[in-house]
Amino acid sequence: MKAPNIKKLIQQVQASITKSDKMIKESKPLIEKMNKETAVAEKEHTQKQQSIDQDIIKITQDMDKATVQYVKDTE
Amino acid sequence: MPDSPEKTIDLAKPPKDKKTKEAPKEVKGIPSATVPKKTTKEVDEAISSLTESDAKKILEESNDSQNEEVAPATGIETVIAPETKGLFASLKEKSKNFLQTMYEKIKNTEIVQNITDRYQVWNNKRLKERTDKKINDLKLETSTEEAKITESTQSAEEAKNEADKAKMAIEAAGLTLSPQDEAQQREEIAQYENDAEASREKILTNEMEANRTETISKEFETKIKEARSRLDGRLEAKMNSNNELLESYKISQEFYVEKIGMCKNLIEEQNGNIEKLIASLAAIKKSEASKKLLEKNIVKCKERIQRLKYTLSEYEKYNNEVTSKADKLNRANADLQNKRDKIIGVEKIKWEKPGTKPVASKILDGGEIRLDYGGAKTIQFQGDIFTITDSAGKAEEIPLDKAKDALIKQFQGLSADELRKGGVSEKFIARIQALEKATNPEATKEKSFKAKDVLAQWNEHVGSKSPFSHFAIESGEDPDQNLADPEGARKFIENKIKAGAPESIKKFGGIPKLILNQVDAFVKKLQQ
Repeated sequence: MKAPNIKKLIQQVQASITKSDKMIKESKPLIEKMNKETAVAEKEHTQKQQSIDQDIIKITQDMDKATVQYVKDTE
Repeated sequence: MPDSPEKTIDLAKPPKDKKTKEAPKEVKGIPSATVPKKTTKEVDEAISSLTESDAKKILEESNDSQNEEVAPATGIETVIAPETKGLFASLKEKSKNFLQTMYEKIKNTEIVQNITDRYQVWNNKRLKERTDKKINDLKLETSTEEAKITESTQSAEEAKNEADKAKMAIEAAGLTLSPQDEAQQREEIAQYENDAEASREKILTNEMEANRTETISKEFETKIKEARSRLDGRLEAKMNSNNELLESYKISQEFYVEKIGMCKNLIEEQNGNIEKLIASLAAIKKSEASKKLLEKNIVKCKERIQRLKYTLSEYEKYNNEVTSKADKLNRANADLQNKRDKIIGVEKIKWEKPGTKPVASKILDGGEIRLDYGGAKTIQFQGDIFTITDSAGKAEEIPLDKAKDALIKQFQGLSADELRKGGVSEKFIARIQALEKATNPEATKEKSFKAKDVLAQWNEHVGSKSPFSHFAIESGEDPDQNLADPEGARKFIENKIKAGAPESIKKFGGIPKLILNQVDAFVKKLQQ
């Protein structure tokens, strides 16, 4: 292989290594960012679900009361 | 990780204080048509005993007797809310056991399964069967009382004839019937007549009670339907919330998949670099420096491959994690849909949440009002019926009498003049105005004989257990109608009684005396 080809190959390899380094380096902060965003979405989701669950509990409590009242009223 | 699919329901933590707050107990001796086996005499006495001291005495007696007979049930109290426990404790033992057997089936505390199980209790046909049995029993009792009337009336007639004959015989013998004997005969006849009157009262009371029970049953059915719709709405909200999170997971998954692909490409690229470097290395014969340079780059590439592999594994790890969460959420949604289908079935109806406001409202000809919520969702009011249509075109009808304030509130903002011009029913306008007054209590302070106020006072006067306590403003009646005075109120109430038991009234030619006594007591109260 001629010298200029080696030089060109090395340049290509260096460029490829730089690209890999960038990929490796940015992975951690990107994963952290993504985890953070997911955690925020999950927190919001949990809060919404809890709020809905409270509504459900209220509905069931009202209905249980209505059922007992119904039985009492029709004794 | 979202916890909703596994969320448990805790409606009824055992109260710290074991003493349950009891709801008002049924009072022994208080005139109540819901206690069918009371004799006329007892009822009559009770009517006249409505003084404060006597009522107190009766209450004490009642409490004593209840304390003796009520053994607290277990099981149901662990699944109903603390505030319902008092009400439950006030039930008769038979009713407690009845509910107990139904509530025993609620064991799963996972919230969605729990409400599905609960729904099966509320919607249990045994509740309806129990009510139907009560109505049938009342009808049977009515038949017995009808036979008693015939018997008592005949006895009274016979006693009268016999008394006349005896009197004639005594007079024929030249003797005179003593005033004492005559009084005794009259007393006997009066006793038979009183018995017949008591049976008439009983029949009318039974008819009232049967009608009241029927109304309560229908109201309960409406409550079940409403609860079903509301629960469906909440389960749908849970699914929507899950879908929002799934969207977020999808973004994460797309990101990880992209990075995984990039890592794999770079690893492949580095492997290709190594191959090229090795090939170049093999071609070099003389230059040691070039050899070293190529070897050094081969090492670098290998090292990058290792690091890229680690990065790839990290991306894969998080991708697997988020995929697993998404799968779990998808399963939760499938379960939610399944439960919704189980609860709602094919009759799925969407209710508008209280507080939701229409995007447009229109008063059409013929007293029709249409509220538009977008997405084909509408609420239409016509002929004292609300028709709530969801985006899928499924509709639910709710009569004005059964409509909750939350629904009426949807129409607030439309002026009474505007509604009258459009021919909207006065009953509906009155509901809107009543709501507005409720938010402005000053308007309700003055004493009045308005129909709706008199009714409210009457219902309170006779008590919630009485079959006469469920009178309401009917279609075509003006709730603000001024009854002028207590006598006007009397006529109004009597008409309500007549309308409530038309068959009995027709049969007896009027309202039995014992019930008129209650009306008298009420009118006196109004006069004070």
